[in-house]
Amino acid sequence: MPIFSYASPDIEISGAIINVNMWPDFAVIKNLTDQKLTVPNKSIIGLIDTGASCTAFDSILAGELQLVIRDKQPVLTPSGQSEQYLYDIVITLPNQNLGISLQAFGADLSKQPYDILLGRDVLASCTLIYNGWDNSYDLHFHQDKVKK
Amino acid sequence: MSMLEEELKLFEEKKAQLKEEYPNGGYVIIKSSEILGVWNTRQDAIKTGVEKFGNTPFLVKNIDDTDKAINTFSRNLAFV
Repeated sequence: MPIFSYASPDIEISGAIINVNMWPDFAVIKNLTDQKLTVPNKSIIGLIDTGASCTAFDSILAGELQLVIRDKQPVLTPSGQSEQYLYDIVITLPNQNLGISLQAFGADLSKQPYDILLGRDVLASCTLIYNGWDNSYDLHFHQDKVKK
Repeated sequence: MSMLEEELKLFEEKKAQLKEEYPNGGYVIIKSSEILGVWNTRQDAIKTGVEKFGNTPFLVKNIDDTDKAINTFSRNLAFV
């Protein structure tokens, strides 16, 4: 069971930050690989967000990673409800090679210090222990719990 | 017409019929006015769609999809 540990005296301000790699969907990866084309991917900064049911990423990444729209759904935020496009993406967490396939929506995170908000759809395959008094958190990733 | 509007409109029109035809659920692919079929998993549906249409937009929808909104309480979110 791969474990990622993070500690920082700023964790109360920054939140549970994590570096992840983001890719297009598995089917697109295969399609590009079959054509001997480069598969785009990017190392990005994520924030573990237990308040979000669905992962959201900075919209600018959609162009960089050649993501295409696959759905549209209403999204409810503290500032109201709006219709947002959904993309299929793959992310890999530190210390593990298995990609997590998920639907995520694009948002404007350009003014934020992170590129992706990892929601409870990612945490569905994880155990998260946030230790406030120690300024740290541990993320246990359960490969056998990844939803297909 | 904005992205996937034609596909989403067709899905809404056919949702009840799809649910009746596939009582065990599944994921439908719609491209323009064509319903390609229904697959058991989202991954299988996307794989088929990408094989047929390449990496272009097409709708992949869970036929049991409710209109319930995705919840996010992040105050840092803004939409473009």
